[in-house]
Amino acid sequence: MISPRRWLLAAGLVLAVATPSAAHSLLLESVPPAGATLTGPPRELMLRFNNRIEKSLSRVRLLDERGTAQPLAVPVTGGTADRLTAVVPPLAPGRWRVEWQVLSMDGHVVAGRFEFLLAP
Amino acid sequence: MLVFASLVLGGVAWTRLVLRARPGTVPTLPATLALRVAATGAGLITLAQVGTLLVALTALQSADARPLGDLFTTTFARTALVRIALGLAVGCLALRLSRREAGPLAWHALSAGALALVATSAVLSHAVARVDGRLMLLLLDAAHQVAAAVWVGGLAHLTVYAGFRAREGHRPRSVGAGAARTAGDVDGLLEKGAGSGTLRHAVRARNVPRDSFRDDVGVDDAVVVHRFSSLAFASVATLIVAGLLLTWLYVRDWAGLVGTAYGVTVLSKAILLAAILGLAGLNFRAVRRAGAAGRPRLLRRVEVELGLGITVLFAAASLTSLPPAVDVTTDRATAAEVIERFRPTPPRLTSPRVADLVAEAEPLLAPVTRREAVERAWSEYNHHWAGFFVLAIGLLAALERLGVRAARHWPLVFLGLAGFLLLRSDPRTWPLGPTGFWESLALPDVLQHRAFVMLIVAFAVFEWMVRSGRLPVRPWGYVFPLLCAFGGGLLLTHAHAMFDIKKEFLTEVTHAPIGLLGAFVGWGRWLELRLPDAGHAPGWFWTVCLIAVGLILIVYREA
Repeated sequence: MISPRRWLLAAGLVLAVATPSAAHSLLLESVPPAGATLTGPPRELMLRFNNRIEKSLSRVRLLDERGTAQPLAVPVTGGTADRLTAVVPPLAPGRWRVEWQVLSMDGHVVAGRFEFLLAP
Repeated sequence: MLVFASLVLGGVAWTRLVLRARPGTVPTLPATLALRVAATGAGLITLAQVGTLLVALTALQSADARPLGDLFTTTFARTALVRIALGLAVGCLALRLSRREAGPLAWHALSAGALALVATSAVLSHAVARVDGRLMLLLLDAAHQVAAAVWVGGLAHLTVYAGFRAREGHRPRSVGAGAARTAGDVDGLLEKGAGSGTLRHAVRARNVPRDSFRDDVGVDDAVVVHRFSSLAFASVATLIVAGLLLTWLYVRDWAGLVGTAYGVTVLSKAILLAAILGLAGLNFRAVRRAGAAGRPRLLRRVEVELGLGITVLFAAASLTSLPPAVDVTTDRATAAEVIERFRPTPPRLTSPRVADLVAEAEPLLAPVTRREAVERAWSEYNHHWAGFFVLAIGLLAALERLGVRAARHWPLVFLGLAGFLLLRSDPRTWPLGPTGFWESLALPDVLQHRAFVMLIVAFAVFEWMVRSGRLPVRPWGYVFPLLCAFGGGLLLTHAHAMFDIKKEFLTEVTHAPIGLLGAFVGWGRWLELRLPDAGHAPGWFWTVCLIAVGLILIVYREA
């Protein structure tokens, strides 16, 4: 029979490993800025974070109002370690949404999104 | 993982620097026990590290990415693999050294492996991902974690050692050169130690003749405590210096300390550390005065030091998942905004309707981008009524302390609180909302709330059964303080989705004092149980802390 002391110990261990964790990468700035209204189409998309990111496992998507994604090529080598950049194809006027997901160098996966408006 | 790392490095430091295990000799029984605990810690680190890899893999899985191969090119995954290998190696080596004598090379390998196992966790911290000044941050972080592991792990091993000595049936100041000077003594010792099976197992595992246990403990308890006291003092000094420098580099100013979640968590750690140092100071004085009569009191305080130390590790784990305060420049709260959240206002006594909340709030499983007024009203109502429950519990506990016998059933009020939270904590899920029970468990917030409900039910039932004489105080009386302390630690790590850093921080800023008070309730009650001759102070301390938790909940506000 398992003693009460061991039940308590086992419960303690289970509780000790059950502690959840969130994530901490912050998007410090972007081009275009979040919520901006642009008078001309952006040529480049840039996201700067508060820490180094693993670019090969990070991704950015650019979606129109209907949720259709535009093709974006995000270089995984070169550039500064805290930024993701991509050349943006010609965009039609309207509201655009940027969705991103990054793996920071310390192993946290963080996702976020923002919008900008391209004026007609 | 920090707790397990402490068991490993603390165990190795305990064995080598406190018990002074020497290469080329069969380890003493306490050394054997410490090495087995360290091996267990290493095994648990290995499992936890495998778990973090799996979590990262799961989080990265998506329709347009195949991360499995790429993941293992990253610093994170490579470090995790190194730590898995280190965990296995240290665990196996510690087990081997616990069973038979070995040369200096094996002991040095164990020490180096345990040190590397803890130090490499710095490579999974903020330090490695910083854009500038990484080397300095890595060194400071490694020093901070190593010192913490030696100290908290050492406290754990001192507690294990004290339990071992108690099971031996020796008086606190005993032994001299040995606990078991004859084979007959060894038999007696084995019989006494067999209650838990630990000692008997250790003896069998080492596969050596019983005669070998003559002079087996090999050191006076007072010497052990004195050596650990010196080791702990050096560790704490390192911990504080490295911690202050890290705080300067990650927080930088007072505004960051009070206006960000990172800063408030650092403050919480500092408050816990101050409480531990208060106890440690009493213990340090007791050790230096070397009074044998005071040693049981010293060991009980060590248990509380250990418990609060583990709570600090919880808070430290929480720090790794928060953006450093120095990075949060545009979304900081001001001190005035923080103080405003603690200003008492009339509690909310009426609740919004579930249908209104479901209609206005975002779908439960969608990314959170806003928090509607109806959600804030719902949450405030929940917190205020939870506060009334806790205040009632605290006041009833105080009445019981004053001699009102009927008030001893106060733990049952916790069941009402648990039912209330189960019903209302996540209104868009079962049982009130449209999202099913199992489906909702995929969300960390909901999972945490359900875990809190289970904790409350558990300690309510056990504490009531203990107080009404249905269960013995030992060990079941310990359930309430342990779960309270764990709940407090968990609350220090509690976080909602980061859709708006400043609003999230202001919403949760009251969680920090509640978490701290929860830990104090738990360890106050623990001390009351473990040290009956300490008088009424521990009992009143935790009762007042519980009342304070109720009052803070009643003034909780989200706007």
